[in-house]
Amino acid sequence: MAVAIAIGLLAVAFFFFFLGASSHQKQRESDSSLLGPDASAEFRGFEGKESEPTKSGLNSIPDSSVELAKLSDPNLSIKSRIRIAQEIGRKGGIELWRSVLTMMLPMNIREALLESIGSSGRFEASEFLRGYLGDPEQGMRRAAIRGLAATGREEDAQTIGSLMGKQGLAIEESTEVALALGGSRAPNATIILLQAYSQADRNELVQCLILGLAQRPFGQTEGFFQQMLSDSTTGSDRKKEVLSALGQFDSVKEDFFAPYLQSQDPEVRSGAYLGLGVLTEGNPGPRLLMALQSEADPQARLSLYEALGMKSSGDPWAMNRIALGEKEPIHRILAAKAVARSLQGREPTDAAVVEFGRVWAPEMARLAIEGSNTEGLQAVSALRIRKSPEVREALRQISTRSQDTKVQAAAQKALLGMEK
Amino acid sequence: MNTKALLLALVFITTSFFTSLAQLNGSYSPDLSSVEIPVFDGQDLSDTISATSYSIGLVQGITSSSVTGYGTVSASGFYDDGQLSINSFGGGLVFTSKATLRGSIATLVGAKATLSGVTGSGSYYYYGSYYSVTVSSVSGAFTIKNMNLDLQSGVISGLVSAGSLKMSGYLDDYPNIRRSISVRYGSEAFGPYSAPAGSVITPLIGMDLQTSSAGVVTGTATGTFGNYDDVAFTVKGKRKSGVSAITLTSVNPKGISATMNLNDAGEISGSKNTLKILGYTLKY
Repeated sequence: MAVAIAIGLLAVAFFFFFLGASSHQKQRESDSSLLGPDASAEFRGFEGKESEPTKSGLNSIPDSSVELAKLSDPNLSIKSRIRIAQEIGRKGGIELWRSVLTMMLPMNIREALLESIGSSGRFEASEFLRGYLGDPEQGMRRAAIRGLAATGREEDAQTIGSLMGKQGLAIEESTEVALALGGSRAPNATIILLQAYSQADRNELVQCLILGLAQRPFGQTEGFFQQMLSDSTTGSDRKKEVLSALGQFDSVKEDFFAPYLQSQDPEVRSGAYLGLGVLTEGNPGPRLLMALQSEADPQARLSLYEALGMKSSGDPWAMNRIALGEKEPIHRILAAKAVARSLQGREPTDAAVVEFGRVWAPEMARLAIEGSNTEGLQAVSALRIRKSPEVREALRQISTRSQDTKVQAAAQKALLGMEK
Repeated sequence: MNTKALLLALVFITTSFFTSLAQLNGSYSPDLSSVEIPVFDGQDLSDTISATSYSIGLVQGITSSSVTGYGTVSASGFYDDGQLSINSFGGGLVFTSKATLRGSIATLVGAKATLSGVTGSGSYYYYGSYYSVTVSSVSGAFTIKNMNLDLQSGVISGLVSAGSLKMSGYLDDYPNIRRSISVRYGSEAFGPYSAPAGSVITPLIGMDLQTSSAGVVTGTATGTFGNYDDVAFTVKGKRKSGVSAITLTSVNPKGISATMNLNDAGEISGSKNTLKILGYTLKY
């Protein structure tokens, strides 16, 4: 009997081993050393799959009459109708697009359709969208801009890029071009943005061009950003914007920020801290904690705490000691938030977690109740990071004793989230 | 002293007296009702995207144009391929973005909600038997494109880009064997919501000013920006050709500044006036 079972298991294992060989190489490499022959077979189904969640959007090509009826159904939520419009944009054709756009529909549905036409891959999409660049409604013109950026075609990028220099164009539209080209697949998008940057004079457009450029592949913009960051005529606040934007869009890796952490200019250091704080990949926490030991500028220190509130320092006790030394309420609150973030992954019984509940939860409640609106909201935000009975008690106190309605509401909402 | 000198002295004193009357000396509250500041601070984003419900409390950065948030995420019935089903998961969510003001639209650029400390459970069906599964981590982010607050309509809306979440876990009976799947989700509309009250604020600034005989303006000011009240400023400036160009710099909290041109009645003059707050530069 035992021999028969062993043979059966080996057969299953062999079957799954064979099956697994055709699955994703990367994921097979990651864990294969842990596999036992039989158990690995049983669990192979949990490997290397790439699937839709059960309740995600529509997947079939829309049946036009049914979809058109749904689009005009006021009983359906706007969100559902927008989703249908997007499907029609992506999977429908020019006749269907025309029919929908002649219907009496809320503006946001029409805009969603127009934008998604850019992702249809259809040749006629470009011409169709260009026709809406002169639409009387600004929202439709902006949707057409986003749609044309989404086609990924060079000529479409050129068309919308040329709009940025157009006299009298509303700032909402020129900035839309800058942001849309930032996310476009068009190969010439970076060059268009760089050219526009050299000619732009309005502050809002310059800001959006930087945000657009920060989204481009860093290999294409590295020289531009490095030149800007080393240029003594570039304002400190602009350098700060650039550094934090590069982190926000994950354009660069952690090491890129290293020289800017040593800058003499506190604004530049602030930008580097914030950039590191919003990076998705990497583990910049320990580096930020080290910078905290020597950062003396109060504003830069705040940026450092903001960053450590998003990325774990990895050392809650060191973070705790520093936080306890802060006297100014806002510095104290943001430092406590950094302590809370450092506790990530620790068990509720961990001594550092217990200490946070004992010391910081009541302190956050006091500072939120006595402090300004900003301090109150930041304190609630700090408490949201770490669930514990002490934190819940602190939030309860804030929700009943704060005089600020926004702070009160934020505490109530946080409590609700913790009770789920 | 001869008569001529006396007359000259009298003319000088009289001119100085009337000039000093016309200068900025006293309390002023210029009309800033045309200035609209979009505020994300204290707003709560709650929605369901691809079977995942989330709630994020937003906090607007105090040292930059960043808008961050912390919240919770939960899902039930997120994934089921007939063999593996993820029944539920829940955990934290870190939200980061940059706020930019462009005309009548405030946009949160690069908004992403990254999952943090998310765990869950599920089951795995194999040859007539169900095995319980622990989801030890769910990683990934929801990226929100075009998240706009339209100041004219007061509507917040956006679009969540298609993406995927990586879920890692193990069979409870075989905890050493860890596996992962990547679950794709489609693009979905975010909102539209009516922006909550207080999303757009109008500043109020009261000033106590003095002008020296050399036309140097000094003083203090206190600002109220919605719920951000009692913002203290120092004021410096210079009077020239009947207009005083002044600069306000916040003392507590730092990071707010304004340039204003005031006529001798303390009213805003011209169009080259700016207010820098929350990372925005507003012209009025």
